[in-house]
Amino acid sequence: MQIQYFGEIAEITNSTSEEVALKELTLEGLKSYLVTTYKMQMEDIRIAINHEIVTDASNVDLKETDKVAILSPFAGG
Amino acid sequence: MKQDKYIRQIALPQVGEQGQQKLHQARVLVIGAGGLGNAVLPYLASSGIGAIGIVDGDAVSLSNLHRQVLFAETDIGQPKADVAYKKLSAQFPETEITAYNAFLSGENALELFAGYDMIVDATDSIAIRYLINDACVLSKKPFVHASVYRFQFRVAVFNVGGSGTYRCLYPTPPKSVQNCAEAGVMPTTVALAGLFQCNEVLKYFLNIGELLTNEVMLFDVLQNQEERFKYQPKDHSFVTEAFFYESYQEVELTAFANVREDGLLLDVREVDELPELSIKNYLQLPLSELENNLADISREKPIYIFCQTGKRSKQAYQLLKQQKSDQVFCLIENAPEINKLISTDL
Repeated sequence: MQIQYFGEIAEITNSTSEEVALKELTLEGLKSYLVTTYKMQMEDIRIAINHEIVTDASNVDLKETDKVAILSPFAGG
Repeated sequence: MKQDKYIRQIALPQVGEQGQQKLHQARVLVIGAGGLGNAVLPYLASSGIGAIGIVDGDAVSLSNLHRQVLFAETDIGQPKADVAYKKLSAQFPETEITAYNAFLSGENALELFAGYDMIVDATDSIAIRYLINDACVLSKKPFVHASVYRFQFRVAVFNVGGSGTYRCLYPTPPKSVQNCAEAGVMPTTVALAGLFQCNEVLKYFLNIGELLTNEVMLFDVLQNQEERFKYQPKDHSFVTEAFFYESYQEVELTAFANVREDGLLLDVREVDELPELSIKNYLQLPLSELENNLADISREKPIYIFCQTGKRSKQAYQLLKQQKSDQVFCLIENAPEINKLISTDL
């Protein structure tokens, strides 16, 4: 599955996108990958699946072909 | 309005004489005269927007000049809002421009927003973004947001009719993010972001095209890549006037130990709340009844407000401050803590 990183979060991951094989192909599985690999603070980022930001807290199944984007807030102006 | 000046845009079927009139009647408030503001402001004025307000409490500095192109080296040290006002007024004399040489705060936001139809968030502070969002929700004004991170920027339009707000995207402020000064930025990146903001403002007043509502546009200028992310509008009925004052009202705090002998200890809890306190110079006036009984409170002596947790005392502070009472304080301690303090004294 392809994950894109936008904003400051790309400094933590050291790349703007990566190909990942999740152990568990669900939203929870994705979150646990982000937390264990990069120690991301879940409350400070947004996850978009196929260009829709996930706001619902419930776990959902993901597909290998899903486009995942991780967004952090931007402060500059 | 000098129509000939705008003839090239009036020629567009989507604008026309009627559209130009709409722009002329529009009033836009720009928060921040930094990188984004310097891109938004000249194009708002040049498009024939009728009235523009500029809010910024900062002064021009040397490191601003590469991206804040309204300012010259001779302006260094001068208030940004004033310099922008002078520059824009000379170039666009038919636009009514007002400079507010102050930072946006919980004290001035609602009053400022009342005089405008749309707000532009051109700040570089996440805390102020929440203030703008919540003041827009309360005053039912739409706002155009942009923010920049290095070679990426994002733009979105919030609170148009029932559309989503910034809190639908990010419900609460993050723990830490960098601003331009820390992260670095190219002038073109921030200018592009500002022009997208200005473009959304014009579309809103002309009622043409599709606004960036319920979605956020993210642009990467290194790859020239645009991504759009949709989000679900959420309930924001919790953003009430009480919530606003509690979040943004700055109160003058003092400790119970510093209370003056002649001061009034004002308890704004309801009468049946515990603990009951027996202290000198004490008055209980529940918040719900305070507004109608303000005349009963002496203005001569300092007033020390408290409640059960400190939330209602902040609202009471606001009410008393509006009555031009100078010596008003919120106590750091509230009823349970005060009760302990006076019990140990005995």
